[in-house]
Amino acid sequence: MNLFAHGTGHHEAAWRLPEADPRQTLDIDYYRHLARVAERGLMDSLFVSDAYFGRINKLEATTLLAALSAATERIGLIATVGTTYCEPYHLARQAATLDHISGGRAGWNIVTGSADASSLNFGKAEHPEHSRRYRIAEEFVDAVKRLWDGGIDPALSGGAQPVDGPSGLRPDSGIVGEAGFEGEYYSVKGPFNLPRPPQGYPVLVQAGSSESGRAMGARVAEVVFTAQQTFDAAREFYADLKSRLPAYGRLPEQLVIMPGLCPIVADTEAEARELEAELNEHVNMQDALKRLSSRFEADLSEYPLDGPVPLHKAKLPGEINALRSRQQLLLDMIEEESLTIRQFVRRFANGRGHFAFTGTAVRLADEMEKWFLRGAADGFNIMPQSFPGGLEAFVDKVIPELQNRKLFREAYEGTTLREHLGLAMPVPRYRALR
Amino acid sequence: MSAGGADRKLILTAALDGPDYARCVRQAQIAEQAGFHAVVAPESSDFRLGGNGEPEAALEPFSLLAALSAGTASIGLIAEVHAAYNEPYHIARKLGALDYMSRGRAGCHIAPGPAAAAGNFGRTGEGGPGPRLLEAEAAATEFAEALRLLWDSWEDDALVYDKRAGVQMDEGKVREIDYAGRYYAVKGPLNIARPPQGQPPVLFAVTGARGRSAAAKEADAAVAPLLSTAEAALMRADMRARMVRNGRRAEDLRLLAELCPVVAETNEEARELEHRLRQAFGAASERLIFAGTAAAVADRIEAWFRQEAIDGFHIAPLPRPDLLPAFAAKVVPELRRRGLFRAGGETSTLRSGLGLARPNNVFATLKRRGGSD
Ligand SMILES: Cc1cc2nc3c(=O)[nH]c(=O)nc-3n(C[C@H](O)[C@H](O)[C@H](O)COP(=O)(O)O)c2cc1C
Repeated sequence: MNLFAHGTGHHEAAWRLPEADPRQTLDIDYYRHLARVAERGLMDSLFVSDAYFGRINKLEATTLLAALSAATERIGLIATVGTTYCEPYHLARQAATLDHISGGRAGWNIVTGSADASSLNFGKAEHPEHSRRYRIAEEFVDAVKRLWDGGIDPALSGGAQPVDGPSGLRPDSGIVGEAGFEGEYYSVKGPFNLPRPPQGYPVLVQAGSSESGRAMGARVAEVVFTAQQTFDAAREFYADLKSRLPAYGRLPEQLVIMPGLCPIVADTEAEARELEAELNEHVNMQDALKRLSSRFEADLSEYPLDGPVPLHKAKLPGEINALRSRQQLLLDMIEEESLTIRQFVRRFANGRGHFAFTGTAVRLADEMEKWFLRGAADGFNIMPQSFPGGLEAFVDKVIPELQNRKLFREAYEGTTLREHLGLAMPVPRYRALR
Repeated sequence: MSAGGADRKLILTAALDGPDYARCVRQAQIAEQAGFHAVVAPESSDFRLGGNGEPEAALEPFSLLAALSAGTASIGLIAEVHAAYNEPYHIARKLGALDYMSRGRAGCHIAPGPAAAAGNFGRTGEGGPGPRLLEAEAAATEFAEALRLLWDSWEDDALVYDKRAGVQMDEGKVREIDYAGRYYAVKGPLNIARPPQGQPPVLFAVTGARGRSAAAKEADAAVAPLLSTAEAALMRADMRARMVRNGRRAEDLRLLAELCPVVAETNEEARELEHRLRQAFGAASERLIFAGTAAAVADRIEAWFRQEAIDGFHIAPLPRPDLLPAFAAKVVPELRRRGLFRAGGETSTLRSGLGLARPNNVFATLKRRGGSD
């Protein structure tokens, strides 16, 4: 179970609730509270997203999680770092540092970045096209693993002895010189300059759902986040992704699949609906329409709010360079449910296309149990509608219900994120070779 | 606090070192308890062996300092940045985040970065190391300039969070900066609001003339390897002249001398230690070492400080783990008795601790003056 910490909540109007203080989203005490509540709920990890563009206001992911590592003891910390505008050597050091200071609780969410505008913040004329971004990402990950494998290995004693050779260092000296990654997009000479991370590699997380995204997930990811609207779609995704693993010599349990879940939970159905209605009241229609219009070749605000979504004006997933799989999901949802524009805006407002649930803890636990036992999920990426209230409700009402059903842990058993998730330590290549 | 005058107080900063987090935590706590203005986390962009044959590496500075921000309350947190291998957008965001999380204690030390690391960042082969390394000082100057503009891409009051109207920000107060330099280009705006300090302080290391010219343009503080008070006086005079030529006020730059303090019970013991250290450093790297009893070290610090060429000292990584604690426990109280050092425990931003004003937002200032928006 992962907590996705995000602004004042995953409902786009959460900041307008009377109890919300949006200025807190730059305050470490606010995140510290969320992390502690999640840790009280025995959640596996806390995740933050990131981006390199936009008129948005947020804390950079690796810095935020490093600060949280000092305020938490058990919970895993998953930071997003993109592979299109960063350097493998830097990422290898950032994630290894987080893993060291947190005692083995780090994870890295590998993203290619969806916005064309990012390139201009790095002096690049254009954002690479979708499938090329994934080729770049795979190289980036390969280079980073090479670096971690070549880290100073405390298990090998003997001190550092420079010797002749390409790296100048002897593999059995406690420092493994190998790295030397040479690719089409990245070349990294190495060797790495920090001790090998406590987890071997920080846990590798990925969230691509398009064809290229799934292919990369199957090859390199240990956790996959995904947005799914229905149980059936989630089951299809789950089966597809797991079926790709043998081709890479991997077992099903080496990849944990976590669909997003946006829970609005209260003691009664009526109360939960009221919470949802209050949030929907606060949606700024104009802004929401402006944002959604970019997915259409039309300005949605020129159409009647209570009329059908002009599906024929929608851009096809293949025509856009960002979040392709999400576009498909939205189009399917609009078509299957014959949504009006107002309904579409509201459906999107809570969780941007992730599975949203409003109701009691018992009913939600039923739903989660179904997904978990019937091949749609190994766990969930929890995206509360508002913080801290929505998270507290989930931890205090839903987690105990899942524990009663023996579906969730009663206490942390391990100390590292790998242990929480039941993921084995990677064996460094040089040890495998000896 | 002002740069001159009778109430002039020393500025002290210290380097963190090594890949061991627990050790860095101890160093930061010692420095904070002693009342230091800041700790500096070094960057390492490549693998290298130290004099003792052990790998010389540091944890990634921003992650390290973010973690330290949680366990400290008043000390400044300065991250070294290798400009040749970084992008202003990434660094401006990290400093912004660190500044918010530490409530105004973030800063950065911009260094060109070692040429030997080029291979770790794909800067080898045909293209060679590239202009960011070949023209390092000019690149560092641009880097700092881009950082300031990115921080200023949000006016201080851009976020309005008007719940009733459903409006989060005043879009007119968040701007693209369209920075297009010779070494860096960044369009902006940044995706974090202007940091609490406005612009977290920027330090440069100054050695040659080009380094001085860069610092005179962009630095809030400069760290220099100075060996004598005469050299310090020349450096200060030169820096003042350069700053005035750049249209800056001469007092808007703090000058710190790099120092290795060696404190022992007796002067003989200290000199013996100093001798061994100098041998270990080697003749090639001459350094400023003050060796002696606490009183003797304080005497030398006082003599340098009273001459008014420098504003304080930066304690570089020390070759022995006991030297920083000894300095903090013995020399700092002595400096305080002499009225040369602040009381300690002050909570302020790093900027105000250094006696520097919070800078105005350049874009807001332009707008007020009726300049183009
Ligand atoms: C839970 C979740 C979190 C994500 N976080 C980020 C993020 O922080 N930054 C980012 O650029 N993309 C993020 N994405 C987008 C994915 O990396 C991916 O681009 C997206 O799911 C579309 O898949 P595709 O690229 O294969 O079409 C996230 C996706 C999901 C489902």
